[in-house]
Amino acid sequence: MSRSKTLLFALLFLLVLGAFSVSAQDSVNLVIWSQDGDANNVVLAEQFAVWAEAVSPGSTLEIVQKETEVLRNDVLTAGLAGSGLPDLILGPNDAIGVYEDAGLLLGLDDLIDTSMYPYNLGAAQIGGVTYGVPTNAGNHLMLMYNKSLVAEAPQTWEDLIAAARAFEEANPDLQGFAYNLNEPFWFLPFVHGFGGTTYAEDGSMVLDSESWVNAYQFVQDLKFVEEIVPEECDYACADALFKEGSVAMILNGDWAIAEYLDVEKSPALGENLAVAPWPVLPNGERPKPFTAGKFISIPVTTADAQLDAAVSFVTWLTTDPAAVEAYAVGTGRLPAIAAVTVDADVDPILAASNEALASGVGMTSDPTLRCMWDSVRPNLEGVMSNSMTAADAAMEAQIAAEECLEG
Amino acid sequence: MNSSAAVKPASRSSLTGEGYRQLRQYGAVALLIGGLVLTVTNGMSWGYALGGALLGLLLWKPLHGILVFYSAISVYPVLRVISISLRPTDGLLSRSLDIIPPGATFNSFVELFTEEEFLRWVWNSLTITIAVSLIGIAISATGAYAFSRWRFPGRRPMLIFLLTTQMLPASMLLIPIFVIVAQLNLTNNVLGLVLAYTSTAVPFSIWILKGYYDTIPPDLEEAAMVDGCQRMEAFYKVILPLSTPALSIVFLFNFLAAWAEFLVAKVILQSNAVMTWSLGLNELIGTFNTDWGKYAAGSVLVTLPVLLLFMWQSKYLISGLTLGSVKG
Amino acid sequence: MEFSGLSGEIILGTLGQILPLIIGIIIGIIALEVGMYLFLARVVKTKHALPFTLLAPAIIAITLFMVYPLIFNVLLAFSDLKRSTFPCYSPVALGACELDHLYGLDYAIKNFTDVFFRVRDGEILGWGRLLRTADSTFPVLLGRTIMWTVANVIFHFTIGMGLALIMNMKIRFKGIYRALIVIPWAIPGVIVGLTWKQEFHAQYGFVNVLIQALGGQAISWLDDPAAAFVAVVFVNIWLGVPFYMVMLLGGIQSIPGDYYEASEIDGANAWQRFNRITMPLLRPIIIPAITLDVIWTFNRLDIIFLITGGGPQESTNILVSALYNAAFGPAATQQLGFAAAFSIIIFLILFAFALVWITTSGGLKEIYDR
Repeated sequence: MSRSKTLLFALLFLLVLGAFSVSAQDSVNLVIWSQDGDANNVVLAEQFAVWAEAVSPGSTLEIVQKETEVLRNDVLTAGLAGSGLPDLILGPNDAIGVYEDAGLLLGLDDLIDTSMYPYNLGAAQIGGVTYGVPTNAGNHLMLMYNKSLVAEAPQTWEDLIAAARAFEEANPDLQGFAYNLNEPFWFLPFVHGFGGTTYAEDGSMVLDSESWVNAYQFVQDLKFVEEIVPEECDYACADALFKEGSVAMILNGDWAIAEYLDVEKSPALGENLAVAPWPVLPNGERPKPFTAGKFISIPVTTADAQLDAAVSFVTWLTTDPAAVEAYAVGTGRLPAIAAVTVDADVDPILAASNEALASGVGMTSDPTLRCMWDSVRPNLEGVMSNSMTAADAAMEAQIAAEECLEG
Repeated sequence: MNSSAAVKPASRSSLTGEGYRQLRQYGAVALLIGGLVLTVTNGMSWGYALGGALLGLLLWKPLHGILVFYSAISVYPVLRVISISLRPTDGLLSRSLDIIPPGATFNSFVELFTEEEFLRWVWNSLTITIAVSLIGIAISATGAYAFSRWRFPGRRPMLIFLLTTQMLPASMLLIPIFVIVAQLNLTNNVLGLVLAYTSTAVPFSIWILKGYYDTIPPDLEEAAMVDGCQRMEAFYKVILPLSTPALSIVFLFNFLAAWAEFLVAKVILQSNAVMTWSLGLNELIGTFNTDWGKYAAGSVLVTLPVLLLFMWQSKYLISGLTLGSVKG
Repeated sequence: MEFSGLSGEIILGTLGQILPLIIGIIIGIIALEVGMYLFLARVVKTKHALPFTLLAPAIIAITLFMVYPLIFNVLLAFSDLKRSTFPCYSPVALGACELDHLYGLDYAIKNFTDVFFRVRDGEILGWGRLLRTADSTFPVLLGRTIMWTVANVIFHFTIGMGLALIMNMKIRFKGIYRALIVIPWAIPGVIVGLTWKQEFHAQYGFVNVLIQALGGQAISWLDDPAAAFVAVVFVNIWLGVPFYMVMLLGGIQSIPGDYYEASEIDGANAWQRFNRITMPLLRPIIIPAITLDVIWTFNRLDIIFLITGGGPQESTNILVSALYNAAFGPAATQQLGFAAAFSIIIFLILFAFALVWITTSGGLKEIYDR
């Protein structure tokens, strides 16, 4: 009996201790919801620490990592509830259209001098108002290869197929080439390469042009005629194979570079990582990846001291030359302002990434773009399981998109 | 339980006759040897020997064969997770079926603790789970008692309503629950999750506990009670101790449900400090990370304790769920 | 001193949150119960004061987190909430509200018809797409959900019953078998889903490795619609068998042995004994178990969500996973009024089933009328 009383008192004592251990602070605690990967968030945290030390000692930044869809849903749900929104949102630009449509973002033109961003800003502007500032340029897919497995980057798809075959013959247990087969983001560069677009000149969505059919046919042939991609491969598969050195070449985006340079996380890569622009298609064109970059936006609920600190940090992070360079080098991604350039001798990876970026196509922040992604996905899956012809897939995608746009 | 009530094996069945038995034994030995031969001729792939042994067992002692076969189906995926957690980082994707992989290492476990906040996740899950289980039991034990011992207006509709709550699709609850929790300002806090889990656990708990109380004769507590207070005393002194099996089952169920939940947690918890293991592990193999090794190591660590508890309790599980439902 | 994200300070901090919560809630419950009891007994003077008091905490909890969400969804289904009308419904969103009313029958009619039909200018053009393929229509999804539920429940029951009957015989190592067979029940759903997804991988999963070792052809489990559906059904069967095995074994064990001895003297064979004694006596267990299993399986989202995400080509979606994808998935259109209407229809289908099933089977009488 007395023993349990002692225990109870001990617990109460601990409670009191716990209550007092949280002391008040004058500095700011910011929360950012980030769609970026771990390795990049680490760089973001480091940069924040630099800023805080100079400007607002003791301030903290909590980075909550969220996947693309989760981020979009959570922002909308919190907006509906009227509370729970973060102070900052870091994500791809196509979600900005969704948030803006819902009235959940602050226009930044009065808060940040947007003339400091000479390019790339249009991807975050809607109706002339800026809703996000770029942390980097790019977010583009490129060819990545393991130098210890293949000596140099193939220039054309013919080369790539030959190189992958030769590699697999020499190493029967390994894979020559792999990528995220069923994800439309990896498929659109082919469409662009064959001359296709999402929106026709009159602004309508056209997903069944000849270019689209050619692109479906091309990726289907890669799998079922050339047989150079795995039977089944998603992001996790290509990523894991590449990191452990079981695949020689993959297609992936600039966001992964930081992790691939880290030998702890990618034992087979590190120094062996090399990147190159997409190989040329049989029609003589390069596939064109979507480009935009990751943008930071500020939700409507951020106010007062939080807002001041948020604006100050974001401005510094994205425009201060030293900060921009540190962020670019740390994340392995290209800077979004002209004042900072990339020297191929200093950072060959960034330089090659820059070269790949040059062939890209800017991604709009128009929310109707979602209808394209969603309509293409199931039909691409049909093509990649050989249960649909290229022409049928294009036709079905067009029907689905029209119904999606109707509402 | 009452094992003496077991059904006698059907001794008249022709397949159990003495002659057949001999034959089946020889067949089993032949299968076992065949498996071993295939193993040796196929470069020591033990799958053949195992297959031969299983087929042999099926022939020799069919019942044991079936049980061994089904146990293997139950256990094998767990063994696979253990196996993946032991693989070296450069061999995570492999077609090998070895349980102990070549180059086995505990690196994934070490990294899980040093590179991720794994202990923190487990601690958060543990506090949430224990709070849910305790509060859930406190609420359901009394509620179930009311349903079991009184006939009051609205009793039947309320019981049907409890069943109805099980029919709400999970995705239907996500947005409203977030709205409540956000308005209570609990999104960076475990309390919101505790409240949400407790409420969802109550209906099923009441159902099980009521069924159990029903089997306890009312005379036991009627002896001691005259008015309300004494009735409650009787409840605590007579009913609760007698219902320990059902209470522990309910505790186990609520524990397991809260321990493993992740859809609601993903919506409600908006801060790394309160991340649970289910969110943490999920993130390890999300869009940006593919740490299969760490994921597998984490899975092993969060599953094994609960698994052992469950296996150890499996005997009581059987009596706690159904005792008294069958009137002999 | 922090290790793996945990330190003494954090432990104290969490305890500081959780312990007052538990203590507070329990004190709150007691205070509420005493107050309510006194109120009901002295002021209202009802003879049912005590049972109502005892039920109060459960009712409050269920109301807050289950009834309120239901009402919330009904309200949403009567609203026109989508991206462009967000400012009308959100307390924080900027922008002008262009709706003249927030809730109305006209919205509800549109939301509910949208679940079934594709309507344009007041004319019904055919079944509406709940997601983006021509097959993601309500009747197809309902049919698949019924297939999913029936297949699962039948296999759960037959395998569970078979194992329970064997386990009830005089057989050695019973405890070991029992402990091994309950394993799938104890593994968290997240881990089950993600692990099996990996094991169904065409190249690296053990399923195909085994099939090929036995001389079979590799199957593209996650790329082929039919195979993917088989895969998710298989995993869900694997998960559900232990529950039945445990329930049925408990029931069989409590049937007195003399029932069987008597019928054996009468010359009944094994099947007759099973059919005339075991099944009827197990009815009070079987009916509630099947009822719950039907409801749970019909509503089971996690396995499909984690293994196939409803794909490939949206072909493994059942109603609840289509709802999740329509409301939160990559293809979500943020038409929350429509999603709410969809969820209410799913709920009503289950509810109608349960009403019919409960009245015809009569099996839940035991539970209510004891």
